[in-house]
Amino acid sequence: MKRLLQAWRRPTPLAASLVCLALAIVPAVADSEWVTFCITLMNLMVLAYSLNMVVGLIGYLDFGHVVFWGLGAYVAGGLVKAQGGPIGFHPFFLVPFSGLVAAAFALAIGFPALRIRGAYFAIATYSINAGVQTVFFNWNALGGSEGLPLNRYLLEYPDKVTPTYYVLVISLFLAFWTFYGILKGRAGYGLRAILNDEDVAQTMGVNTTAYKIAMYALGAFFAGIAGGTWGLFQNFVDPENFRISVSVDLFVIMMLGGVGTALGPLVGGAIFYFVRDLLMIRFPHLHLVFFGTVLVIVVLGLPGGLVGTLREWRPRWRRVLE
Amino acid sequence: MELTLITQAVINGVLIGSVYGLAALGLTLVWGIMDIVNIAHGEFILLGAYLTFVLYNLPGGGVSPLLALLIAIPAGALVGQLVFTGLLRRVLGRSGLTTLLLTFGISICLNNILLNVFSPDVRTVRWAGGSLLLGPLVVPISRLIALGLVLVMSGVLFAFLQRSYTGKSIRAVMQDREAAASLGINIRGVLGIAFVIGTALAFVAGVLLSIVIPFAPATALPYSITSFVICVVGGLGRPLGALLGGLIVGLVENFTGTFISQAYTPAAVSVLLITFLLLRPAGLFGWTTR
Repeated sequence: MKRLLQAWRRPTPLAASLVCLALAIVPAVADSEWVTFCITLMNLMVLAYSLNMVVGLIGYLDFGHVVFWGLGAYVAGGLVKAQGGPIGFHPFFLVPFSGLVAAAFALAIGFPALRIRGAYFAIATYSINAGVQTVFFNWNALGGSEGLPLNRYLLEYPDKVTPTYYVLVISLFLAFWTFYGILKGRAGYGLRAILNDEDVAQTMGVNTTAYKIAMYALGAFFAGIAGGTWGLFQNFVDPENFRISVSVDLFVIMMLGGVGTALGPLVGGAIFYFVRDLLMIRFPHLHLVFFGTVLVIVVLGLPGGLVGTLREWRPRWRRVLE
Repeated sequence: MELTLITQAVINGVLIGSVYGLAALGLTLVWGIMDIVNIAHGEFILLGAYLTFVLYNLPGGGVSPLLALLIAIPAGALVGQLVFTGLLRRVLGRSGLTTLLLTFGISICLNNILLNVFSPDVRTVRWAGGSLLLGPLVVPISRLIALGLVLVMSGVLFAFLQRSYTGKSIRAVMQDREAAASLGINIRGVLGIAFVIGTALAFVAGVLLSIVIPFAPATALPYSITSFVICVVGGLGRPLGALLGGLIVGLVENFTGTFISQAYTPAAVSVLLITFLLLRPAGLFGWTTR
């Protein structure tokens, strides 16, 4: 821990912290268009970090990661509705519950699901997401397929943008430092062992189950936080919060930045969002064709993503880009 | 009454399930031999379905789906050859993360091309309408024809795998790659042939699915997932397992739809998958656990 506290001067954490600081002063200096832009961007970045904790640190391909995001949104929305009328405290205090419920769900499904590997795990997580989405489609108390509007419960809190913004800045900061701390700390050794060869790691005395479950739940926690914030920001939750296209975006971001790197989600997220915005305006129907192609090209040409490839290219930069 | 309902659900399940089984045959072949899960399998199936749709609705009189079947086989083989030499060959032997993400990218790309070309509308090929009425039971003729074609197609495939030299090399590589290589089998060539056959099978399954159920670009991922579940149920790389697994999935879907609610069929298939993964990960006919 002490070592970690001293690490802030290293280039990577310094850069990430400065990015968070820069994001924190955006509302003071820029107009509301930029603020909304940054909210969407930070939501994706927090999600990319949370997915990176699962895919980058233990090497399990989680195709249903968006389930934690959707669950987080529904926990916040459901709790707001359960209050019945105008609620007496600031709704954003519900966001931690979103994270905790998502993490608890990850613990529950992680014990059976993390016993299977590779493509089996990928499809199992996809199916879990599809199953949970089906449940919410048919859950009429929470609006079913029409979704649950929240604005009539939250009339006393008209400004959602400011709290959303700062909750996301703090989440992004914490997500980076959690990821970086795990990567650089003692757990990082165990996790790298699991990434390289899980069976050998287990034989050498690494408690693989504990590591895997912990990372899965931690990833779910941050995804739940982002989801809860997003639900309150939108004033609305519906089964579309489980849409698979969010997972697609996250994988593109992670591959672009570099799987398992601490800077990857920031770099990949920024590039992705900028490019998507540009493409969506010019080619509204074709941008996913483009992203599929990008994914193929990155997998074939830059398997380590931008950060990983730069590290390979200039070994001296390894100390700088982590 | 209850008995009629059950029999009808069994009939529907078997008729649909046999086509699912054929769709999964291609995936199980590719997965079993290359250790690559092709997420774009659903898109290959859809390409076959849209091929039938386009040919059937040609301005100067439509082409019968039976003829489309004969066109779909070389078309699928061509697409398979292009994807294999252009993309998949480069990632053979790389980690599961790489290969899965690659086929995922192919899937997104193809799916959105289909979406742009054919719009998100649900399409059907209205061919061989009408039904046989057996007392209170209804048997759609198009589905009966599809079942017959599934039997013919899988018969041809089994004969090929059992009798021909290429078929035998495919099975040899599937069982033990090193041993097969030491006996002088060209591994890359065999992998390529297996992928081409897998894609052609997906196209054939698409032709049959198009005359049996409605389809849209959005149904590609469910096709991939259903095929995947069937592979898990039947056992990896086991053609017979895929056919049987298809029947099981078809029956589970139809019984859920008939007796609980159509809305819960995806959830029921998920439950089937997770049950098999936990209790019998090698599948009904499988010999490997991983």
